[in-house]
Amino acid sequence: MTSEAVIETRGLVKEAGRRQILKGVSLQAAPGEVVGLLGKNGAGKSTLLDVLLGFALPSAGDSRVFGESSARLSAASKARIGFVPQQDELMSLMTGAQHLALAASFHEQWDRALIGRLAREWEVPLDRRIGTLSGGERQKIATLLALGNKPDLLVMDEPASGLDPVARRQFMVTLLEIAAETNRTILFSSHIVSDIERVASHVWILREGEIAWQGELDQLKESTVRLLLRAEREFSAPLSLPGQLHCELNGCSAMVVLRDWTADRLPEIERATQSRAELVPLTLEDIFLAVHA
Amino acid sequence: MSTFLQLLRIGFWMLPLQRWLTLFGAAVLLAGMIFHPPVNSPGPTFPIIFLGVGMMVLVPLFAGGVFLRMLSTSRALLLRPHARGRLLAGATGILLLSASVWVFAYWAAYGQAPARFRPPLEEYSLILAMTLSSGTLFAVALFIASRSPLWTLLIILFWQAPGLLLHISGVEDASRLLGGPVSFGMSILVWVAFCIWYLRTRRIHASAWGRRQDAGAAVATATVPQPATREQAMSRWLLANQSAPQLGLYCLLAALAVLGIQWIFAREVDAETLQAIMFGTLAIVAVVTGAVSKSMAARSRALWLPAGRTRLQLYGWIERQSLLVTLAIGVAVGLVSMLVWWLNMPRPSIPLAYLLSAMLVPALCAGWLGLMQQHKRGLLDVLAMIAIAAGIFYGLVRPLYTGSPAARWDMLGAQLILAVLLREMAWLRWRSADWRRAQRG
Repeated sequence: MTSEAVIETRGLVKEAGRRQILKGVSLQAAPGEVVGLLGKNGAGKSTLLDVLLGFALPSAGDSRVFGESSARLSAASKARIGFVPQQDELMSLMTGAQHLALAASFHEQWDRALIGRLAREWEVPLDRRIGTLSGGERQKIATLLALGNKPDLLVMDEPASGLDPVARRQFMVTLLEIAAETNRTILFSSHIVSDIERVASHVWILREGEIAWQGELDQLKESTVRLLLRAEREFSAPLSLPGQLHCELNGCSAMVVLRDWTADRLPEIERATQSRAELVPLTLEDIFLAVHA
Repeated sequence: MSTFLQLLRIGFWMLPLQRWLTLFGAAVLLAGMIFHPPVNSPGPTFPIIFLGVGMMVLVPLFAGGVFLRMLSTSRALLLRPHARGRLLAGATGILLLSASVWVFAYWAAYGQAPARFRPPLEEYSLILAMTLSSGTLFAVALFIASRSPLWTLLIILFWQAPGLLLHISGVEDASRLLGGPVSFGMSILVWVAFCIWYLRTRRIHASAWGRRQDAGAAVATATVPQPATREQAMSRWLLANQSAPQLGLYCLLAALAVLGIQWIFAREVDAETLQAIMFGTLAIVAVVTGAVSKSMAARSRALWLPAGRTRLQLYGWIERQSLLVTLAIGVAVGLVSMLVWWLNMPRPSIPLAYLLSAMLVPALCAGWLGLMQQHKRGLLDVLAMIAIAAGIFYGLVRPLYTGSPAARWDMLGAQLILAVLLREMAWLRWRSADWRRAQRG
């Protein structure tokens, strides 16, 4: 295990009955990274976060946070973590202010100024009972609860899914500010690929319990490309190029998505397919769709 | 310390009802201590002071377990340093505080009494032990009951078993069992075992009623294999995939279990007291019919569109379902009542027909009170609850306890009028139902 890694897993397996939800996941996140966790429904994102934070025990493999086993985190390590669950687990009888006061009582350090500022900026009604709030307002309170202890590691499971576009943009901007302020690591899962593309420095793509990609977002976008191939004759058979993720044939043209791309591969591909190749830019969403094609 | 103060606030001050209870209780307590009204003799202010203290500590002492589960279910709590330990320490602190206030009330009540009436020191320690025993029992039992009510019976049996064994073997005075060293020791043991489990377990699940709200929909729509008509599907949704006969059967089993325990513990008391306890307990069926109807009213919101009815037609249909459930539960309670009537020698002086009516009419009232909860809860509902409770006490428990042969038909008539009024009120509320506000409320 690397000593400076905030999160590190090796061969993580999680089984539920006969089904394997995580199949040997190995990951690493360093301080200051903003990691976006992408995956389809049921890919294992929430389970991965549960195991990482010690809410669930792995069936095999090892998971460490701040160098400690996730299953046995010390109080000092716990004080450095903030967590926003996918579905808020707030007590509907209490007000937001009462929730925050109770959470603050567990920590030696609690940034009341930050929480007060964010509550004002996000227009969170702290004086109303949780049961009377909308889903988005509850999600904001859950996020405030996770930020109050100034965590070195902030883990969020679909944090912006219940927010409207304006609130989501505002939320993401704040997230970036918070990440930039200190050497804080942020790990958040989301279906909203554009959010991850906007704020993440690193991406983990989870596909059916396995890591399909992990690394820097820029590197992912540089190393995964879409080629538009134009040939003199129709393509007779599906293409099978090294690192090919996806291929669409349309008469004399073909659209292929390739991973592990380097510029020197272009002449080789043109030769092999007897076509002219043109690079078309890819968004993260395109890459995500190609990975799952 | 800070967590303890937050828990104090949750225990005594979180909801408007708690605030009123705390404030009113404190006012009554102070009035009792200052003015020493001569309520009875020889303990001059005993009932007044205990009424005040009782109101103050009612919620924290007896509902602490429910609050503890609610606070413990969040996964984020596992990431707060020593959070569970602090919550437990806070809960223990509140138990100690409530027990101390109770003992203080005892001391205050007898403060002005002549010396010969003042209780000895031993009496105070007995009261402290009894209060702590009851507090820990309620905390653990309600923590468990809020998830799985049946397990609570085991806790009660485990807690009472040593005292019961001593009692059966004639070792100890029955009246001292609760505060006796063995029972007190068992309470501490149960509390310690609970604390160890609480600190070691990884995940504490949400309360049963919260879980059923979510699970019911999935079960009703996803795992029912046979095709269902719209009314059958609506009925399944309304009763969380249960049916009226099933609910009646559960009530039958629960009533048999509770009465069995009561009979074990109280069989040596006089016949009138035992009858009052047993039939009075059976009359608590009103709480069940009220709770089921309230749940039906809460779930009715989801039927608003799929039912294809106007809201008054929907009310009519739900009312019929509620009456079916009340009937099923009534039959179950009636059967158990007749069994108790047959076993319990000598039999009560009041007629069986009156006895059954006095148990079932409050259940009917509570059913309509539950349906009223769809919208606009307020003072009227509280008054109706008090009226139903008073009806059970004066119409059933008191005549049985005093051994009076005269049936209180006037009381029964009043309750029937109350039932009609509640039905009309429920109908009026449904006519102007505001689903959104009802959900928020």
